[in-house]
Amino acid sequence: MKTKIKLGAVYAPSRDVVVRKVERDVIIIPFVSGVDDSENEPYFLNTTGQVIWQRLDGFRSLKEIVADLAAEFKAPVKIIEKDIIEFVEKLLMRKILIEVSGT
Amino acid sequence: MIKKKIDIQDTRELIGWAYYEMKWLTESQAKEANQKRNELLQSISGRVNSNFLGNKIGPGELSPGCMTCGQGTWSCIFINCLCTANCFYCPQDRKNKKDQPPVESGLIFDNPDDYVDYLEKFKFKGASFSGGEPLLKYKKILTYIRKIRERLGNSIYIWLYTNGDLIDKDKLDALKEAGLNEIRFDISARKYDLKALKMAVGIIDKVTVEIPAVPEDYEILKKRLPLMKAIGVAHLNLHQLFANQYCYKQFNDRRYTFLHQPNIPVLESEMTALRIIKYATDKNIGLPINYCCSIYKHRFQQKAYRERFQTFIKERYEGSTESGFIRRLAIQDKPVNIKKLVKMFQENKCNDSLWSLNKDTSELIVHQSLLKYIDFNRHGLIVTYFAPQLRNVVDEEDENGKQIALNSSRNIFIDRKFVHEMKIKNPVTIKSFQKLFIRKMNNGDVFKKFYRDYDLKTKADIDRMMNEKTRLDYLKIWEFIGSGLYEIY
Repeated sequence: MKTKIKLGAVYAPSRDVVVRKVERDVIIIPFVSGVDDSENEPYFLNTTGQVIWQRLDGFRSLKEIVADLAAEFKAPVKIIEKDIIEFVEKLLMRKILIEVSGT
Repeated sequence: MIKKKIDIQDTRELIGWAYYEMKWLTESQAKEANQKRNELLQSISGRVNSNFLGNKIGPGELSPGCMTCGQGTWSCIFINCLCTANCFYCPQDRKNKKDQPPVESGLIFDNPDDYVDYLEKFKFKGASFSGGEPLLKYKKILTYIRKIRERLGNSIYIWLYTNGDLIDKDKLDALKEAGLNEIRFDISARKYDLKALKMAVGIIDKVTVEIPAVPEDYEILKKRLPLMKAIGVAHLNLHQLFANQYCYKQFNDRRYTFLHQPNIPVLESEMTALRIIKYATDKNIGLPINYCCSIYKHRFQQKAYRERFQTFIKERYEGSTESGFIRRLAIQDKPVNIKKLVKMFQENKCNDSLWSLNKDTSELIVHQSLLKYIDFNRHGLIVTYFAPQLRNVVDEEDENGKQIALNSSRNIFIDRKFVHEMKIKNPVTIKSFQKLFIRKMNNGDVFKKFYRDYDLKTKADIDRMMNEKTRLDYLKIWEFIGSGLYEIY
């Protein structure tokens, strides 16, 4: 079930994940106990994913991250916002991210 | 995931072609069934007891007999195999018209003294008589009960299973006088008739109803609950129906859904048992109910068997798992390297009973306490599991079997059955194995460290790492007992 993503909310990596760098890739391995092992499959971050992941630090809201990336990559806010929402949705479903505070 | 795959594979192999005529759940049906069961469990949560790691649930106390089962000190002797009834769920061959001698765990006990010696030798605290219909051998049972009481006194709790067909007051009086503590009626074999129960209450200390949870009988059972309580029934034990070659066709006729679990239980039977528990708690009936699910029997009764007999065949350099298997840890290497390890043990003044060398010095079996001396960057670890096996006669080919004298004229034999072997080469996996299964550290903490420490140089290593994780999870089958009701699939 998809969680509603709030742009004003702050998200952070769950404590129950291990992040490893392999060659150029970053992989995230969740290990939530008591759930099906398929939940423990590693999640591969592509280059865009890595850029967003670095900013999901538990301090900045998604709105701030969107603004930050739009300025850095000179891309339309709407497109970045859509990408970030999709990305955060996936990570929340896999229990890789947690919401720290929501507005 | 791995467990699910193995269960499905094992069930298919066990059943063979019949698998395809039986009804199984699709993935979405399984999801829905798990959800429904969770809702039921949620609705009774806090109002029922959970015993033996959540494998037994229900309101009220368990019978002292059921307690001995969970504690691993119960013996059940099948006094005969013939019966007066013909229940559709019976897991025995109903076409068989030839009786058998009394049997317990595959051992024949024609002589009651031998059986009492067996109970004494293995420190049983509960003994029950089952069949067939045991009261077809009423006089024999009396002899056995008297012998048990005469020699073991009140240190043992004794009960009897019956469908009630042959019960009368004289028999009940004699059983009570012989020392029977509890009588358990399968009232489903007599259309839920309570006459036999009424007769037994006031004569036998505890009168229990022990029946399978038959989905079609939910309504009638529900109506019987207050009556049972009013009569003075002490416990209601509800079993989960399970299939074997003798009853699966009757289950097919009733369109039951089978589950991929050991013993192949029936989904609708579990749901019926839980619904009965919910009804009884909602209505405050006050009748203690024990849901004895199929997975409980697989986990606890088999663990008890293994733990009881493994002590006689386990070597000092071997260990045992939480679920009662014998665990052997070994290193294979060139003789020169194996000798170096032995030398190191000697230098560290390790007791020489804690390791064992094979004839050509290529394999060293080590006790878990010696693992700290071994550099697993240089050596792999071979983990092997065995289970004890009882025999009436000695297996000539098994050099390691042990003869156990029950008395001057009766011996039984225990040997070991190979169960599983795994070779582990990766040092991080070996370290995690030790933390998880020997030091019993927290699962999440162990795997967090495993994922952090595993050497990942290329993307291919990620698959290797996940494969190693799966292999470690796989060993939990023989290492851990398992808690709670089994996932439905």
